[in-house]
Amino acid sequence: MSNIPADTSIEPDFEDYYVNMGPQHPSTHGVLRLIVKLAGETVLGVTPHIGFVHRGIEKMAEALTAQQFFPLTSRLDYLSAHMNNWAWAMAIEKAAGIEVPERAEYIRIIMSELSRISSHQLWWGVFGMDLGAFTPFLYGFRDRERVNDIFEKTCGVRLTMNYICAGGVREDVDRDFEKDVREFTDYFEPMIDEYDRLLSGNIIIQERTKGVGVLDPETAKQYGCTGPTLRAGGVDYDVRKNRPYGLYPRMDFKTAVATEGDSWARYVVRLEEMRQSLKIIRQALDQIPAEGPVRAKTPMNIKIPDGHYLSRVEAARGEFALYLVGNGKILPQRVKLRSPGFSNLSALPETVKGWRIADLVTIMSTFDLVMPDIDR
Amino acid sequence: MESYIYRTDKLILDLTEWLTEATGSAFAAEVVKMSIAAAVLSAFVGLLAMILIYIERKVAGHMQQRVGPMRVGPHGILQTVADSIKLVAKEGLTPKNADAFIFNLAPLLVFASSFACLSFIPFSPGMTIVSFNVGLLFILGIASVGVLGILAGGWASNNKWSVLGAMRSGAQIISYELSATLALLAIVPFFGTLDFQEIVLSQQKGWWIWRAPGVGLLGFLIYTIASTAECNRTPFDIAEGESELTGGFHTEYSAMKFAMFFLAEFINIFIVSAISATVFFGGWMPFHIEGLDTLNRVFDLLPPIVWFFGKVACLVFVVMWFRWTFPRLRVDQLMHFEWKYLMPLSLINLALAAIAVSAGLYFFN
Amino acid sequence: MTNEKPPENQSTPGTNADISGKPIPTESGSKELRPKLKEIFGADAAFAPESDPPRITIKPESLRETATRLRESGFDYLLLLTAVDYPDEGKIQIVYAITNFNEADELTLTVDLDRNAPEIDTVSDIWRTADWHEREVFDLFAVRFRNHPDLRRILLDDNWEGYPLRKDYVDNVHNVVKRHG
Repeated sequence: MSNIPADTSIEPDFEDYYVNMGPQHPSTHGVLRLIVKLAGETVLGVTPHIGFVHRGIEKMAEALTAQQFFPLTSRLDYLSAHMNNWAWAMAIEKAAGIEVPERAEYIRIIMSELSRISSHQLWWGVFGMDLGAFTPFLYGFRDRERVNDIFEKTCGVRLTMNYICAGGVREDVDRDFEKDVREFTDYFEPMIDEYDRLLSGNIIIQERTKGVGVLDPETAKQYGCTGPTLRAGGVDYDVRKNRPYGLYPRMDFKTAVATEGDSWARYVVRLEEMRQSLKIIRQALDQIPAEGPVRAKTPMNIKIPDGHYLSRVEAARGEFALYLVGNGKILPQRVKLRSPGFSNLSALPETVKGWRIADLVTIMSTFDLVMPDIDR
Repeated sequence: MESYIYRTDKLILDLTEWLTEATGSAFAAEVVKMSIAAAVLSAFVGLLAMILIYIERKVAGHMQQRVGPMRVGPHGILQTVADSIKLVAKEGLTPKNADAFIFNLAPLLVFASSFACLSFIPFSPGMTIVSFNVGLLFILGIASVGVLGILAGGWASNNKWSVLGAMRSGAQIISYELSATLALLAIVPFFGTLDFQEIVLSQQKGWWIWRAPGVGLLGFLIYTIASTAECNRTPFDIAEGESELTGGFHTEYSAMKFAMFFLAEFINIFIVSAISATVFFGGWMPFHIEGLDTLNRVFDLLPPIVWFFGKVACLVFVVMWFRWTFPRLRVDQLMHFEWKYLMPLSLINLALAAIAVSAGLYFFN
Repeated sequence: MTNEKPPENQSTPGTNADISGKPIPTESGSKELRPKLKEIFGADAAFAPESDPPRITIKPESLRETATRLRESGFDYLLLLTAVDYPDEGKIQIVYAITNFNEADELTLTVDLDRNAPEIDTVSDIWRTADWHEREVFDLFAVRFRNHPDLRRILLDDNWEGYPLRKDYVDNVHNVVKRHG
């Protein structure tokens, strides 16, 4: 059973068959609409239509102060809420020149990495379901629940945390935080091996993913793909390494990189990323100062000076960048949110060409799209 | 004298005798008998589907580290009853641009073919509704009528996803039927009959899965795979493929029409497991080892009907087990698998069986 | 037996994902960046004073030439492309944040356009990711990109009226206007 895409240059000799995938479709994971041109089962072309959950967050940002905008950043990629919060906090800190206390920096790293793990757990479960295996879904959720419990204890919220704020984090962590996180890391490490046993070794999964939907590194770079989608093709690019922020330079970890660029490589990269995140969390827990302030003193309404400020973080799906244009007032002139999914999705039509409709689902799943992030 | 639990053949005979006396003619007795059978079978189908759905949900739950339905009744046993009431009470919708007649006919066709298959299953000695000499062949023929219903339903829905699902289903069932039939056919020379009751009786000395040397086991494996595909069950559920086709051929169906497809699916699981149990595992025949009479008598303590349902339950569990552990195959991989691996293998199996039979290579003979 | 230690932290068994151990850059590449930019833009490149990545304002006519030169000199990653509306000054500023996948270099190009008829060349053939980003700017700011392969609205409905991210956009139905002191 070889995985070679069909030749799409041959036009079918019957009428074109278009199907409308989404916005209500089980595997578009949100409200993505794809117009799929088919020849039998083979995908000849895909046209994505986005914007179904466009809430105009960038416009809202122009009417909100720095502090007021934090909750909205949590609602972009709701699975990387901490990272998105961090990007906004970093932009504000850059603009207003705020120093972040050391303890807060460590808490930010731990929270972000936990959030990355939780995002990949969910992705792993949903990936299994997209390929027809229902069971991994519940395994993924079982472990994600533990991360959510940790978030809930400290932030009071399980999904849209709104915890990282300008000048640090909103308040100090829960008193059991360190114990909980250590327990979780010890618990979860063997669980990744269980994930491998449950799904990775399965012959059907391998047949369905190996060689399927190859996104070669040059095309990926051209489309501005980031995160596991890019790294699966062998491009060693991670904002945490290439443009370190926070205290990431102090962390000893490796970027997960594969070479093939197919769905299997994207799968493997994400599993490896979870392992690396655990490593980072352990180091951060070892290094974190036991006491100290977690939030710098900031004025209630932060004046954003005239100028352009760029902040970039590595969210679970790739690089999340935030471009802030200030005008010396408390309301920003313009906030641009560069979401990883937006660029990743733009590479999808190229990647799925020639594959079958079932592969379209696989490829879409391994791209790991979150629509509120793309539509903003 | 043994009770009727053991001697169901006697029970049926006595019943027929009594009916003939009461009605005065053999034909009337047959009509009454068939009516009773139909009524019993209808009740049985409803009960069977409910139990299977409940078991499926419990199996799924425990495989997925949860407990399954727990709220309605003790351990959720009334959950499927509640679901059935809901399905019956729901409004049955027909899409505006659908071919209404065929659209409404399709679930009936699928259901009827499954229902008809049940009448050949030997539940216990003498307990077959229709027992005739080509039962096995007939059941294979009747079972494939169901695919027409699926194709018709998918086509009449006037939905592109449904058509895709129906086409997949058609291609799949027609392909895998070959392997399933060939796998059963390989065992037929050993017992030399197509009558289910006689097939069971031929396994007095041992079940065909090990009595037919190697061929039985291989045949069983091929049949299990092919029949799972015929039932449209994971890993071969590409016809529904809910993550790809949003439900496949039954995307547009709701309420009782949907329930019919659903019901047929579960009856089909039961039927393929029952055929498998009958042909390979001796049907209602208790486990016997020749020469160990004491042990055999211990096994005989259980009534044949328990043996039958016990075997079927184990096989049904295997099918459910597949569903909750395997991902789905892609459509071309599915076809490759059938035509490049399974079909040649079942042909080889058939040839081996022919050689074994002509050379008289039986075990326990 | 050699003394070589097996490579640490091999990934999932049965896969050939490799884990690269790149040295961590301790500082951003800004130090080498400025001379490099001087080479591209000439010695009199005007850096805007108050910007975190170095920002250079260029003329609309020289955009394509500059972009091509940047792309050739290794800036292979268009991080984002957006616009800023300045109604008081009557201009719309297009922002290109450009970086690359290898080093930490980053810079921003800004181009000022006339607010009433904003039009500029596309860069979607230089960085393909600009395709969707330009569509977004067209959708929300009504900036026309010349030679764009497929300039359609992307986030909003095809028959949406107005361009929401312009400062003078009024939508009393969908937009909640807040006033702050």
